[in-house]
Amino acid sequence: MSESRHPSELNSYQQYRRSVRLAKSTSRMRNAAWYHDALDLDHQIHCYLGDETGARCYLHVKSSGVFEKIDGLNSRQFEQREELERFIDTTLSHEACRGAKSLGIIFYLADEFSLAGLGPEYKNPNELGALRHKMAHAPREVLDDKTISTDTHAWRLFPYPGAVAGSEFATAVAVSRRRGEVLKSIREIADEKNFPIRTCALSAPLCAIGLVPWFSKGNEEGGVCLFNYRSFTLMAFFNNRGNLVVMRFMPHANGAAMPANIGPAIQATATAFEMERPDIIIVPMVGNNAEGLASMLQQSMPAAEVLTVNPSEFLDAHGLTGDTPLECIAVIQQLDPELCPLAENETFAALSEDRWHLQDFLSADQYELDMYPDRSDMRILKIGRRIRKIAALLFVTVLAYGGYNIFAKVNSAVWAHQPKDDKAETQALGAELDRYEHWNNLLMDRSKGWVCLELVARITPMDGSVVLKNVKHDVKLKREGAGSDSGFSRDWVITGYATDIGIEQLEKHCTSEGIKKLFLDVAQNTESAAYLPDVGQRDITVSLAPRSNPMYNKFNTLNAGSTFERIFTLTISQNITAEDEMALISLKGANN
Amino acid sequence: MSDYYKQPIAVFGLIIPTVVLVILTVAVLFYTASVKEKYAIKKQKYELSQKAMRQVEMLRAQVDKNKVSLNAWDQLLQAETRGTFLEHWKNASRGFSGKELTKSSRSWNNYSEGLGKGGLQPSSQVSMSFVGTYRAMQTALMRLETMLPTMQLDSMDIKLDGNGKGIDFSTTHTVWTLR
Repeated sequence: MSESRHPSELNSYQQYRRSVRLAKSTSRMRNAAWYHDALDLDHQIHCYLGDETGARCYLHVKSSGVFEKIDGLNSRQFEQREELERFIDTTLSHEACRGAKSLGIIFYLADEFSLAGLGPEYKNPNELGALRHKMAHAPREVLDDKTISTDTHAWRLFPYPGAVAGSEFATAVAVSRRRGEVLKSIREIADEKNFPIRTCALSAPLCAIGLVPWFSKGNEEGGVCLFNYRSFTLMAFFNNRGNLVVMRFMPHANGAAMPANIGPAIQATATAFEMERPDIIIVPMVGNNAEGLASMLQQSMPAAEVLTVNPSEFLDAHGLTGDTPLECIAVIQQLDPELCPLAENETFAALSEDRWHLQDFLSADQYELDMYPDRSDMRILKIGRRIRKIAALLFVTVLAYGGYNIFAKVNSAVWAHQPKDDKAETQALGAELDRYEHWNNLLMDRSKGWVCLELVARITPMDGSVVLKNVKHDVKLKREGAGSDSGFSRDWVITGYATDIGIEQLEKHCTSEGIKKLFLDVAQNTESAAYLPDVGQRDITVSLAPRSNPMYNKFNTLNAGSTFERIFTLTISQNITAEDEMALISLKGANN
Repeated sequence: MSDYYKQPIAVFGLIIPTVVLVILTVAVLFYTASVKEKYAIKKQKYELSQKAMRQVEMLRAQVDKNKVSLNAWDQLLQAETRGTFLEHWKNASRGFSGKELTKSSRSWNNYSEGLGKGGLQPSSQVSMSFVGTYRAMQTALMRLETMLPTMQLDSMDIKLDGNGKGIDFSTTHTVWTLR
């Protein structure tokens, strides 16, 4: 892509690429000086073009207060780019320019000047802002004379803030564009060097208007300032409050130092503005002898007071050397309202605020401006870079976090785990356990003959006071329903013969504690858990029914039925519920 | 001031890269979230699987622990027949004289009317009569019921022998069988 192509010939992406390339390859993004006015930069070269021969040049460093004359530029150097480049290099190598990050080159155009009136349709002072813009970009629309050339001359608006309502409130000022190429070359050199050099072309007479408060305190009768240049004289008329009401321009005929018939011209204008005895101040801007002009004016207007500003004394009062252009004072120094009362009137307040006298007549044209992104573009590019970095950082962080998480999870045992169907094994193991439970339950010592005999034996006393006749033991199942667990009961019905002592001993077992103790003894001695009395909801009932032995015969001791005085029936019942561990459980499918 | 660059810079330098990075970031977040979601489901399954595995291990351990008893019971149940019962009785009554213990009768039922009715397991019932001393009978029963844990006493009658030779014992046992 050619850098020389206008952005209108590029597509959007190419325009963006150009911006990026310029941001990377130049200092336009880093150095804001590229977008500052030349007058706002710290290092400045002031070039005063008083005539055709060339320019006197002065180096000004705002931060250190340096203002000194340097080698000037002649008309030949203006036309040779190498010379301009050498001039810039030489200036930047100056001691005072050490560490300079930018350079402003200000031209004072003092070799020509012209004024023109606005069109009759422009009579509203409130339109100044819009008119200023229109005058700079489309002057033909604003000017009264539609034949003027916008190619050869640059036009700017200059207001008369003190003008009375209904009268002329502004004028158009023109300078030739012939120095425009020089300034363009300087800007091109800046681009090549990648060093911000900003240019500005001021109209020296307009700068001179800004000097008035320094040497005039105003006059109730009004005043006229004559700025005498090499080839013309500018007349600035101020009212009784020191406000500029009109400017008149008179060229010098045939190389004269002053215009012909200036006296009548001043008188006519002063009369038009009802100034009977205005102060007339002559300011020799390029060193012309003003004495002749002063005496001539004094003769023309005897009632007026004619004053002449001494440039050397004026410059000396401002700490500048004798050959410094007076206009520089208006550019580099600030008005002190205490010393210069006019500084606060409408005219000079407007000049100070809106810099009307410091307008750049030869600024870069739109084509040249279009070739580079402006400051706001660079700012957006910069913001875009930061936002992209933040977004990229966010993305990388999220990616790292997500990546780590995903990596950790994907490589975990959980992720690699393949579900195994162990249902069949679980069922098989469960069935095996059920089978065990089933058989363990069936084979429990819930009802054993030898334990039953142990219980009967422990009921019977060892002293022979009781003889058993008959023992009946039954185990009865108590089914509560098909498929449910089954409890059971065990009954002992014991009949026999006993002495009174034997009955007493049997009765020991016939209490709740007695029968439980008997069962507990049996359980502990036989390790048969079925006889434990206090497990679950087991209950044991016992009853003893003793009565007299009808067969008793104390003389017949051979037969047990007649030897004992008493007979008895002992009934014991143990109930084991379906919830008891000894209950018969019903486990379906466990009997295989 | 140029108006040519502002929009391209805003679009290509700011909006598109930011949108792309935001989309990528959101995509990564979504993908991470979906992986997390999948992981959560897998983890749930994994934990269930681990739990099931532990349960299986526990079951295996229990089955292993029960194996010795169950094998012994299986062998017993498979080996026992009505014919072998007599051998067991002989062994149980070994050491006792005929005076101390005599078996007088034995009969089998193919089903149980006693405890055998309470379970799903098949069973039969054996009724036996003895004459002997109390201690001999208790000892013999202890031996027999220990050798054959499948026996559960359903009823027992004890009375003095009419001939005065000892005590009459009548027992009825449920015997668990495989079939």
